[in-house]
Amino acid sequence: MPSKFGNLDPLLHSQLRLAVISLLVSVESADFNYLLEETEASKGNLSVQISKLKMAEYISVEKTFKNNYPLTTCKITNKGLQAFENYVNTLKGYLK
Amino acid sequence: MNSTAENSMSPEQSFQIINDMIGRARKNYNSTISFYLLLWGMILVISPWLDHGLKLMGVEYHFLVWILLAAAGVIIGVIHGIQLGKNKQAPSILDKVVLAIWISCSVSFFLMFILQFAGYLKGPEFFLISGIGCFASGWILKFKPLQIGGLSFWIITPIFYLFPEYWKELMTLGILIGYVYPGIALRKHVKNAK
Repeated sequence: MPSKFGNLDPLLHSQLRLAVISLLVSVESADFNYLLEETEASKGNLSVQISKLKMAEYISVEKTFKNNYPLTTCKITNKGLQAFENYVNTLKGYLK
Repeated sequence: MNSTAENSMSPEQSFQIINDMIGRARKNYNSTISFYLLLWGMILVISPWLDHGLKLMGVEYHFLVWILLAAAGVIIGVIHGIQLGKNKQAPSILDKVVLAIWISCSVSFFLMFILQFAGYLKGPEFFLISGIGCFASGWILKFKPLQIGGLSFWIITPIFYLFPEYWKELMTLGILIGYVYPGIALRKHVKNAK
């Protein structure tokens, strides 16, 4: 179905992906559990949305270990920051 | 939260999500600062009165209470800071900015503490540095009680010189407005944000 708000970046115009990007804009980096806690999403859904953002190069994902447990850390990229700024500016246009 | 509502969100809903998430990220550093404000608030409210009480009781080295409580504050602060650093899930740039401000203030406090013991400073100068720490942090975090706390430190400083005999009362008042009240308000703010 075509969107009513066609000018908005479809990758960011989704509740969970927008929430993830908004969190990452405010911090230097965030681990998976933090994003899970703050967005209140399910693990599977969050993983899928993170993968989509990563594929679009809006975020970078680093997988390491902490105390023998896997640790996934996400960070917004310059491309992601630019996309977020454009998204917010387009939103403002709709609210005028 | 789900992602199935793609393209059906209104611009207002989108803004709501952005605001909510930025607010949630902010609660992290608010809780860190509130701990330190309350820790040092308590130490600095207790110190002058304990010193005064010990002096009245005839304890010779009553003034050492300042050094002991300050050392306890530094140790507790460092341990808490190390634990926070280890468990930090999402370090922010604002964290670093606020940390840099308070590290600068702490170095100034330490040097002033030595100068005061050597007799070069009278004491109220501490409030000028506290004013910078509170006002700048409050400005960055957009938190009014902290800004008001900073202003109160600056307002009280000249009063110290006008009424030096009331230094304990003025110090307690300044610390309560500048550290304790914003610390409690921030803690409340964090709880409400959850």
